[in-house]
Amino acid sequence: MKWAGWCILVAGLAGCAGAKKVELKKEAVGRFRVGVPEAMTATSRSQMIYGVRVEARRLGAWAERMADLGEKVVSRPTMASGVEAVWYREASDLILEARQLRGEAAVTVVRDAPEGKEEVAERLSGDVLEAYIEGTAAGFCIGPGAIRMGPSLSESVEIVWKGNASSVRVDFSTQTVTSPDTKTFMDVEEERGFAQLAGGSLTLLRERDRTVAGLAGREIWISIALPGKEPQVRFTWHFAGVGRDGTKPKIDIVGKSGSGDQATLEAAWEAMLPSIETVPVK
Amino acid sequence: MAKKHTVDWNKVDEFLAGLETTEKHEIEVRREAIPLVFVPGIMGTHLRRPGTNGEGEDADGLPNLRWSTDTGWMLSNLIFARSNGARRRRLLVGTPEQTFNPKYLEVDEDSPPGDGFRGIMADYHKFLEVLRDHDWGLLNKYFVLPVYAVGYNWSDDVKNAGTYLAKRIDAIIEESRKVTGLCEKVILISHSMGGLVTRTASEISGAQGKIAGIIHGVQPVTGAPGAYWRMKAGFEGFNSLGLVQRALGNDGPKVTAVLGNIPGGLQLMPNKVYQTTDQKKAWLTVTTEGKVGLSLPRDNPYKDIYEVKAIVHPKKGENPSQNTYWGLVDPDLLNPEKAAPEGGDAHDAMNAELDKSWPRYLQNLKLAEALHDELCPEGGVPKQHPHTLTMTGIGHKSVSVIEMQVESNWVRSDPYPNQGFRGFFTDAAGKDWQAVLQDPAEIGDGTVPWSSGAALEVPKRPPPGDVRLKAEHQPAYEDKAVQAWAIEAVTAMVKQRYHEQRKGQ
Repeated sequence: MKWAGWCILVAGLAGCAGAKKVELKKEAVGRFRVGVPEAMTATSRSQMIYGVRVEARRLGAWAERMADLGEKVVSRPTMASGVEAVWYREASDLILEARQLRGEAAVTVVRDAPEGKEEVAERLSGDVLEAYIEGTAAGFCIGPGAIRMGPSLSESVEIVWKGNASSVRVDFSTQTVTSPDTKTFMDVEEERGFAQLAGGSLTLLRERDRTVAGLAGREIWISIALPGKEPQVRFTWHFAGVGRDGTKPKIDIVGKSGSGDQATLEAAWEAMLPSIETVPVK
Repeated sequence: MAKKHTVDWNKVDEFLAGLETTEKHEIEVRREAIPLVFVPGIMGTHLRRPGTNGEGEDADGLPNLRWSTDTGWMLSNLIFARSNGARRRRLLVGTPEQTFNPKYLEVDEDSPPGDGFRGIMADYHKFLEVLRDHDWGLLNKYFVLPVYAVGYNWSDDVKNAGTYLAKRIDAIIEESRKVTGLCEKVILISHSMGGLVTRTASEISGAQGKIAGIIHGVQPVTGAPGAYWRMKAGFEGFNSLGLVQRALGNDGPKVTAVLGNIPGGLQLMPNKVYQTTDQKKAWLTVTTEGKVGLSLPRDNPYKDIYEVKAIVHPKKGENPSQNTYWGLVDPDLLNPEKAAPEGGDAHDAMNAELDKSWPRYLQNLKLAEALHDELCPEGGVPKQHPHTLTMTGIGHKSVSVIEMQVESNWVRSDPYPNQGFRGFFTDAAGKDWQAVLQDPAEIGDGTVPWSSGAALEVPKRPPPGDVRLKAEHQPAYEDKAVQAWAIEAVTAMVKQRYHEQRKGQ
C-alpha cells in the first residue's frame, strides 16, 4: 500500500503525524466481512434471513431462556434430530424458537406465524437451521458460522460496536430492498433545519462519494452542537442498495462519538471502511 | 386555646349544635379539591419498556425510553439516527416477530406518578404552570384546584387508555381527599387525541360521575383526514410543524411503520360520520382535469378505504390497471424488516405465506372501528359528558378532504417522496399515469379540520361556550386566547359545582 493510502487508513483526517495504526479483528456480518478495531466490542447483533431471525448464542442459554418463557410456552414441536424447539405466545403473537448445538455455539432461530401456519414456520426455520455451517465465512454470516442459503429477498443485519474506553459507537446495518433507498442519510439541509429548530447548529465536515467493498455509496460527516449537550460528531456511509438483490442490500454505517473522541472515531472509521469486503454466497 | 371544628364549605350555613358557650371555638372551612387533570394528545406521553426506569439500552441496542419529546432524545434517536420505518417500528411496536402488544410500552412516570408532569411532553408544562399559578379569586374560598397530568400509552386502543384514565381519576380523587378531606370530582382538560380518551373514560369506562366537566381543545371528534395524508405522505411541510411532529417521519413508509401497527394511530382516522367542511360524506377524491373520477367513501370508510390494500404500482401488462393505490396502508410498509416481495425462491414464498402484518392491521382496524362506533354512533350524536366545552382551532390550512390529481407520468417511479405520495396506474391503452396527493386548502388548526373539531358543539352552551379560535394544533394551549378561554371554562365548571352543591340553600 502506498504511503498516502496508509495515511487515510490509519489516521484519516486526524493527520498522519503521530497517528497509531488501528489493530483490526475481522467479523463476518451477513453478506460482509468487516475489520473492527480491537478496542471495540459488539454490544448487540441481529440477523434475519427469509424473515427468520437467526443468532449464535452462548451454550447453556437455552435453560435460562425456557425459564424466562415459563407459562408462555404453548407446545414443543418435534423438528430435526438435535433441535430443541418451542412455540410460545407473546400477547397475540405465536412465535417459534428453536436451537441446535453446532460446534461451540447454540444456533437459534426465531420465527412468528399466523395460527394454522405453524408447520410452514417449522419447515422454513428448520431449513435455515440446517443450512448453518460452522467456521465458514461464505453465505449469510452470523458470527461463528454462516447460513448457506439464498440470497433471500428478505435479509437484514444490525450490529453495534462500542469503544471499550471511548464514546465511539459504530452501527452497521444492511437490508435487502425492492428499490434503491435514496433517502436515508442523504439530506444534510433537513438535519441542519432540525438542529436549528432545537436551538443548535450543524456543521458539515465532509460529503463525498465513496466506494466501499466495490459499492458506490455516499459519505457524510457532520458535527452537531445543541444547547446544554456535549457536541457530537456523526459519520455516515450509505449505499442505496440494488432492488431484489440480497448480495447488494442497502447498507448504512453510522459512526458517532462525543467531539472529544472525534480523533478516535476518525481513526476507527478510516480503518473499518476500507476493510469491508463481500463474502462469497457459497 | 380555641376548640377546633371543621365544616365542609357547602355546609357553612347549617346550624352548629352542641358548642360549649364557655369555650372559644375556631371553625375551619374545609375546601373542596377539584383536581384539574390534563390529558395530552397522541405522542404527548413519554413511553418506556415495562420493567425499566427508562434509562439505558436493551439487548437490541435500543433505548429503554422508547418515546420522548425531549429534544435530545428525539434528535439522537429519530432525527440524527435517521430512523427509518424499521427502526421506528422496533422502538414502538417490537421486534419483527412481534405485532402490537398493549403491554409492550408503559408511561414513563414515577411510582406513584405524583402530579404526572414527568410523563408528558414538556411543552405542555407551560400551560399547566399557568393553571397552577392562576389566582382563582373568590373560588379559592371554597375550592382548591390542584393540577395533574395523566399520560397514557397512546399506541394502545383508546378504550384501554380511557380505562387507565378512569383509574387514575379514582387515584387522584383519593389523593386529593387525603390532603383536603373533600374531593369528589375532577375537571378534565384534553388536547387532541386526549379528547377521545377523556370521552371514553367518561362515557364508556364509567367515570362520568367523577367528572365535573370536560374541556376539549382541538379534538378530532369525527377523525382527521390529515391522519390519512400523513400515512400516505409523512408529516407535512406545509405547516410550521414543531420538532416533535417533524420527527415523526417525513414520508409515508416511516409513518405507516408506526401508525399502521398501533390501534391508537388508526383511531385518528375519519370515522363513519365524518363530514367535510362542505358537509359531504366523501372526503377522498381522485380528479382528472378538475373532474372527479373517484369519490370515497361511498358508504363506509373502513370498507371503502381502510380495508383496501394500497397497491401503489400497476400490475405489469394489466391495462387498464386495477391497483387500488388510494387504500390507506401499503402492506409492504407494515413490517419493513420482513417484507416479503413477490418472486424469489421457495423459501421467499414461505416467508410471504407466513406474513401476518396485514391480518394484524385488520385486527387493529377493528379496534378503531369499535371505538368510533361507540363514541360516534351512526345516526346518533357523538357521546360527550353533560358538562362539556370545546375549543376548535381555525386559521391554518388543514386536510378536510384528500384530493389526488391525475397527471401523465413519464419518469416518476417512487410513490413515497418526502412529504408526498403518487399512486401509479395505467389506462386501457397502457399509458402511464400518476395520481398525485395534493396539499390541503381547508380551514382548521393545521391537523384537525374545523368540521371535525366542532362536531361536539351544542347551541346555547353556558358561558364561555364552545369557541373557535385562531390556534394551531400542537401548541394550541400555548396560545394566550386559548389559555384565557380554558381558565374561563374551568371557572364556569367550578361555579357549576358550587351551584350544584348549594342548591336549595
